Amino acid sequence: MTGDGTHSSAVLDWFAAAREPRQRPDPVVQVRTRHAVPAWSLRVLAAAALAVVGVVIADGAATLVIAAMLAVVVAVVPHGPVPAIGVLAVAVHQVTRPADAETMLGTPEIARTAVVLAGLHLMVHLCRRAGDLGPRAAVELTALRAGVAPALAAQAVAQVCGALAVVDVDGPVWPSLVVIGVGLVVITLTGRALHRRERADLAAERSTSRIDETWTWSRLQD
Amino acid sequence: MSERSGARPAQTGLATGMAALTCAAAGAVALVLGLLAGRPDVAAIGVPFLLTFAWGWFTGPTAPGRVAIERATGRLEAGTVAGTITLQPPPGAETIRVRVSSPGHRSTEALLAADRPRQVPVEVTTARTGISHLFRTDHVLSGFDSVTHTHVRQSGPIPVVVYPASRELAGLPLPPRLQGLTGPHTSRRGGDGDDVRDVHPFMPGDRLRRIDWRVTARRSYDPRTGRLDTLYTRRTFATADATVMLVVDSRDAVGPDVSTWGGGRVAAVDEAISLDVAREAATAVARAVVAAGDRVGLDDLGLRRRPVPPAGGRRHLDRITSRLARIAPESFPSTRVRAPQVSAGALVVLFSTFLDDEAARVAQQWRAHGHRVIAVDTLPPLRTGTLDANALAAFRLVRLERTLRLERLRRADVEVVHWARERGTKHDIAATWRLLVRPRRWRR
Repeated sequence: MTGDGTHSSAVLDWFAAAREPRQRPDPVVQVRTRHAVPAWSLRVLAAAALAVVGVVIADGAATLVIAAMLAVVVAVVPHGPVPAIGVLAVAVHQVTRPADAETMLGTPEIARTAVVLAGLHLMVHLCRRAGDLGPRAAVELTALRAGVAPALAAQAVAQVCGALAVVDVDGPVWPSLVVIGVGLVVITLTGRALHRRERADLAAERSTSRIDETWTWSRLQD
Repeated sequence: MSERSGARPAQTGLATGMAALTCAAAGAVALVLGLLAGRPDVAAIGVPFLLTFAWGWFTGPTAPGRVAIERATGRLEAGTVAGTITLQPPPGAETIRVRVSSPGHRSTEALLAADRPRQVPVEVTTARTGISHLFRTDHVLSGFDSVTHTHVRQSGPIPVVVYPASRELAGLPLPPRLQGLTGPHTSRRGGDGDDVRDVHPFMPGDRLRRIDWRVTARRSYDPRTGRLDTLYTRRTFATADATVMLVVDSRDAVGPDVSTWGGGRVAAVDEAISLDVAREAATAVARAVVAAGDRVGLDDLGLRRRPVPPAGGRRHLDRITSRLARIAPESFPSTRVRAPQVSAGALVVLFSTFLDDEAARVAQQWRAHGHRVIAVDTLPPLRTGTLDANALAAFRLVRLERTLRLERLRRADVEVVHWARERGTKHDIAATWRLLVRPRRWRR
């Protein structure tokens, strides 16, 4: 309320408040990590991957707008079901268009499929790392490197499937199904073998472990 | 997140990630859609998500692991306080997500690699001394792609004692009357010591080694008989020690920002509040007293508890500093009718903000009892920039009352020292302290 009895606008209030001295921000707890990148960079990268997929498969302005909106949503909310919604949106878009439909960029079908597979996987992979972290959180590079090998293996299987699908697009579907089935069987058997070995190691460690209470006699406990 | 069930037995504290589950479901939907529509390129979209989910499911952690927070070793002083997060991840763990928070600080999140047992240093910048509970750590340990993870667990916070930064003070103001039969100072009582008091004829009880033969030869030599008829002894002042009583007013803990005095907002932790200044000043005085070989005690004006009796020595100094670290304001301390009892002839050093009458009143009572009283003003330099007009007017009234109160103390022969105002440069407080150390004529 201004002096003459009229309501001042929110913008004027904001400017009036901006002249007042601000409170200093509280200091930050320092966590000494290894080499790290901020989580917002992963969010931006994930959004960019989804945007690239959208640009590659876009057949009109509407698709571009939807892809841009999805990319923004992924950058802002990279956790929960949002990445899965992006995957579903691309899958539904692709299944409702003919395989040889024209796109805005005119990308060859094999390249388009490869970009879709890699982009979606990269988007989900990064969202999984940065999903439950704040934008300013630190993400260690070693933490990012830890899951790269299995992800690349899965991506390689997917790329082979995609390439077979494009090559045999007019033929039978079974070569792709065989590759998918073999990939699933191999990864399942490998995972189970690793799981059994770790379980055995853990059981052996527990059988030889003993209670080890660590006491710290600080000045407070005197 | 949902608890794992089904073919694989559920592990205590482990869950399946909802994001991973939804992505795997989306991948399965894409696979089925592609197969039903005869579009293998669409079906391939779901392949990486199903494969990564299967990999994460079978290689995930089988135990929650252990995350502990520990304080850094050694004596912690105001400034930077350090701690250590100890990670002991179980097999199959890939990352651990931590959020470290401390009161008055913005929390920090990080995604750490959990490939092997490791230690992660953490630290906070604080000017707050005393006991603080720092480094609360919330953490979630995850396997590959967060397919399997633990529930949110908490480690800490840990209680940490932060001591004030050490400040050296040269010399010690002495009380008008010293005590004891020995000590580092010369008293006004005769006895064994170094400073000469007078020369006096020999009396029964005087030691033979006290005979001053020069004076005796000059004064008592009789030339007629050629003999000495009177022996003279050199008498000295006895030595004694001083007793210093530190009294900290813990009823106020106000910060530099006046807008935080009314409650509702907490003073910033990177600025010293009045209690931190009082701890620093009291620790410095106690260290100077013990270094001089005298005795020092401690009492709290706000809390009714047994005072630390005067004593000397390094262990007693540790006891004083430890008690100082535990001093904290109580909600509604009762008013003292009379000043706390202190040893006869002791020097009283009172640390207070003097924002009310009680501290000034007990200081005047001590002075009236014959004690030398030094009032140390612990109010930090103030900021009033965020006050509105009404609050500013109220603050000016409080400041005026406080100024008059300190002036009344000066007129009552209580020496007033502004510790916080003069602590900006080290030499200023040292110069003020040297003025106090100078011998003074006592008003009776």
